[in-house]
Amino acid sequence: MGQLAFIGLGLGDDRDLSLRAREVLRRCGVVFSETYTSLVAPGSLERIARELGRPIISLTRPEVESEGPVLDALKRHSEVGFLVAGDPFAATTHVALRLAAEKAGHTWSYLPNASIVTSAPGFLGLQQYRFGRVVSIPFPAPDFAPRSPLDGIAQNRAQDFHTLVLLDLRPDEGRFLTAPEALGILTARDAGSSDPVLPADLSIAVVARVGTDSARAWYGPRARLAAVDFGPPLHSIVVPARTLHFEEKESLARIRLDGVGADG
Amino acid sequence: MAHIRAELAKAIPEMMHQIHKIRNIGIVAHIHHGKTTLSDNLLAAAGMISSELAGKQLYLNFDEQEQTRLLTINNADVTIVHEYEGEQHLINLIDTPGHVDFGGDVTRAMRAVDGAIVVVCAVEGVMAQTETVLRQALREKVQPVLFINKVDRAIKELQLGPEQLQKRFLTIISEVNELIRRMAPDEFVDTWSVDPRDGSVAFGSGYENWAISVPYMQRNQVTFKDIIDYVSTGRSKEIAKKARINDVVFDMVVKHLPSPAQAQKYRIPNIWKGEIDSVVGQAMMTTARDGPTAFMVTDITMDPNAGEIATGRVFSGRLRKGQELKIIGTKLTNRVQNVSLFMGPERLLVEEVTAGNIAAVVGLTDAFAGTTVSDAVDMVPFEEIRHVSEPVVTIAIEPKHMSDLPKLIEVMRKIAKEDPSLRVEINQETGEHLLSGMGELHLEIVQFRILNDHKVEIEASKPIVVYRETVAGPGGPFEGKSPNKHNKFYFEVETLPEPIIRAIREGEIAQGKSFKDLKTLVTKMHGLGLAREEGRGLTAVEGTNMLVDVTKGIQYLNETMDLIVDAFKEAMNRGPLANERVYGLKVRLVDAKLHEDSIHRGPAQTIPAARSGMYGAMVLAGRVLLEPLQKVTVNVPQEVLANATRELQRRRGEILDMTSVGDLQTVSAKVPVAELFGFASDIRSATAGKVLWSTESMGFERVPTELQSPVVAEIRQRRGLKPEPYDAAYYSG
Ligand SMILES: Nc1nc2c(ncn2[C@@H]2O[C@H](COP(=O)(O)OP(=O)(O)OP(=O)(O)O)[C@@H](O)[C@H]2O)c(=O)[nH]1
Ligand SMILES: [Mg+2]
Repeated sequence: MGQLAFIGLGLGDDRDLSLRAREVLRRCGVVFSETYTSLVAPGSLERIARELGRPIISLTRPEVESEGPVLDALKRHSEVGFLVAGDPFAATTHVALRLAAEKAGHTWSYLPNASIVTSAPGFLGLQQYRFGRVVSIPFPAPDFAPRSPLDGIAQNRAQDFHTLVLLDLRPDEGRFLTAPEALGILTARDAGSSDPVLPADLSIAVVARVGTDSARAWYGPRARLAAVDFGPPLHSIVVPARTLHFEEKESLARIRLDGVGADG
Repeated sequence: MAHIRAELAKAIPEMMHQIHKIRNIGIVAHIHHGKTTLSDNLLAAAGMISSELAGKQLYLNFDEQEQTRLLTINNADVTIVHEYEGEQHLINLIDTPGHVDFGGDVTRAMRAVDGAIVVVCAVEGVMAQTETVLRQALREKVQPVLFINKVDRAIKELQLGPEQLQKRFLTIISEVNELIRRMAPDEFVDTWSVDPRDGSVAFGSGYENWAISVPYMQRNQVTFKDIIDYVSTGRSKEIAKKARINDVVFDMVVKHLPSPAQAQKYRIPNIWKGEIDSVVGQAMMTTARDGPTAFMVTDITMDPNAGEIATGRVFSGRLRKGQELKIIGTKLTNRVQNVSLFMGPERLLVEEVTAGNIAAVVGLTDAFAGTTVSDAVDMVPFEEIRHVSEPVVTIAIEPKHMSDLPKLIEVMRKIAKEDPSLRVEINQETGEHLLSGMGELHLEIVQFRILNDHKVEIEASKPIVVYRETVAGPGGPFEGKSPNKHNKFYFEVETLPEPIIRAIREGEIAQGKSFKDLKTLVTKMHGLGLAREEGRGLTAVEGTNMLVDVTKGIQYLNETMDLIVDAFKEAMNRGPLANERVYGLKVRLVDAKLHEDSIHRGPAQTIPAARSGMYGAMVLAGRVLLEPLQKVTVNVPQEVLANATRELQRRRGEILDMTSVGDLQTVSAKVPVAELFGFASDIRSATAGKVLWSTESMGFERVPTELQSPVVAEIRQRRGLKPEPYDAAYYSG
């Protein structure tokens, strides 16, 4: 029976991988990575592989979801590594794989790392304690136009909570939903409402590339943000609560459009 | 004849406006009961064609294939002027095919007309297809009159005396009336039966060119005995001079069948679901030629010179050259190039065709058979023309020369437009192009047209039967899991009650996923055997299958439902057994467990999960393959009866009935379509050519248990699948 090590890569690059994680990786008989749920900085995996002196096997979505390759490897090796961008159990959760491994009689270990779920609020200076549930915006698809993300924001605001809005991405296809696209989708679903969830003048925040050297944040009216170029992916949106703590207010004021930039 | 046409050309524009003196009629019957011969002779008697041409050469079967195969394939339209009680009447007549493969033409013709002459052969009597064509007419609120044909044969071959002849007529009349009573629209059940005493029944010989009716006999002091004397002594020509076929038949038409002005009042609410009080609604109710144009295309034909010709009924307004008309349901506008009336193979160009008439139009290039065309942009389209039978035979075709492929695809699209009962599947990816039709003959004709009319050489596969899939009993609940394991859907399946399937096929329960006035529908479906809880959960109808959601209060299910419907459609169009369409299945969504986050339950997750759930439930319920059957009726002389019966039995035929009239034996049998390929030539040689036979669709039935696995394996291999269908474990993976 083997042990499956779930290892977070964090938001930056290979330098964010902890010494302890590197130690575990060196012990692993085989190391997998999953790069379809989030973006891994180019070159990171190659550098880790070089350092380990062995290839890292990149798995596709069907391979991970079928669980086959990982469970097979666990039969043959005492320790197997599974590298995931961000944190393995935060925004994208690999709990299904963990349960499957356990059911097959294996054990697991967890090497957490930074996740957008905690880093975006932190970057903006908003208090973790004041966040409601996280929502996400899927790529538009035929017959799939969920309203629940918008409802989630509305409910959070009704309870005076901030909302972290995550945006769909398909790194394997090179597609990333941008903040202006996501705002377009949200406002289209909001259109015609007498009491819109995201009126044009509501101030909201956008963060881009959090945790990397080019991280940046913006704060301003929704309608004005729609026209801003936020640069390369990844983007996330934060819709603040109705009221702000004075520290939150001050933090956001520093990144207000036309104001002083808040380069990481 | 030219002068008659010239006269017509002058008279018709004026007559077209006299709405009470117009009759639009179709001639319908079982195969070979003599529709075309009758129509031809009606034309000849009206002076439109020479009498030598009529009957013998079958002027209205002008298509080359019709001529060689001695049967009607396409509707043929003619406009005739007939004098009744001193007044000129305009009769637009459509001769329809009788072969079951071309039944779609009859259905479409019935939309264009208000009345029908139902022809019944005096020797064969009322046949299966007689019932079918009557149903097609009555559903469209088309009023029938009866013509009992081939009376000459009944006299000469069956040697019936006056009493026997009369008895035979009465039997036919009462059988026809029984059918009318059963199928007539409620408001006409009492008034639409035919009655020899009032002249809504005529008897005669289309071939010998004479016809009589009871009022005619009374007026002219003629008895059945006199007729028998004339016919049996070879003096039919004499009756033909006195009892002129066009007088008797067209008098019957003018007297008993409604004018467009009368008929549109009750037909419009039946075929058009828009607001009757609207401008266009009122224009159609009153056949107003100055109102908005409302034209329904019922036929598309290809003319080598003019190109595509759209034929149909002008319900209001007018069609004239240069007009810009909307193709309703698209954003397209077409310009009318010219307007004409059909004269069999030819057309008579006219300035305009006005409300209440049947028109042929060049220029409506974006119209299909069934399209609504109007100058009112937002006109509600006419109800779809539903043909109840479905394709049962498929061939795969490919061009002989690969360079012809683009042309072939274009041609396939064109013929699909002309013939809505043909199903065309163009698959650019696999290169497999499929044509599905109502029978072997139907597909032969289509292949001939591709080669001959469109000049594309093709290779065709052997005909393949179109199967259906269903289940043996109830099955499920079965859990379908999404690939990411975060979502689960639970389904149960069973067969739908037969009355519900019928209501779907008749269009009383709409296809798709939006249902008007669900409350009334729930009650109605309850009456047909569907539980109220299921009725209220009606979510989608695809083919003859129904998806019902009987879950309560599951969060996020509403924004996932469209994807479940997508999965349902996919599963119903490609069953789990052999990728054939599913028939008559009720799919119940009984539970669902969904991930909180919408990205984790998008199309790539939900569709496969729901599809596996449905397929798995079908596996548990026991998958069953259905095959199409046809009723084959064979007429042969006694001496070859045994050979004919053997020919039916060796094709898994089940003999249903055997009757005889004189030396003529009639055998009917239920035979799987899969066994019928090549029957035409086999039965001919088995009976030394002394055979008349016809087929009738009999729906789908279970493939015998011992044959199911080999047939399934064969279909699957043809589709490039592994021969064994998947088991339940596969779908729960
Ligand atoms: N003796 C006799 N033969 C007839 C009569 N009417 C038609 N026939 C013959 O019956 C056969 C079929 O006639 P059609 O007029 O083609 O019949 P149909 O109903 O138009 O046939 P489909 O359109 O193919 O259904 C031909 O051989 C005709 O000559 C009739 O009144 N008497
Ligand atoms: Mg005919």
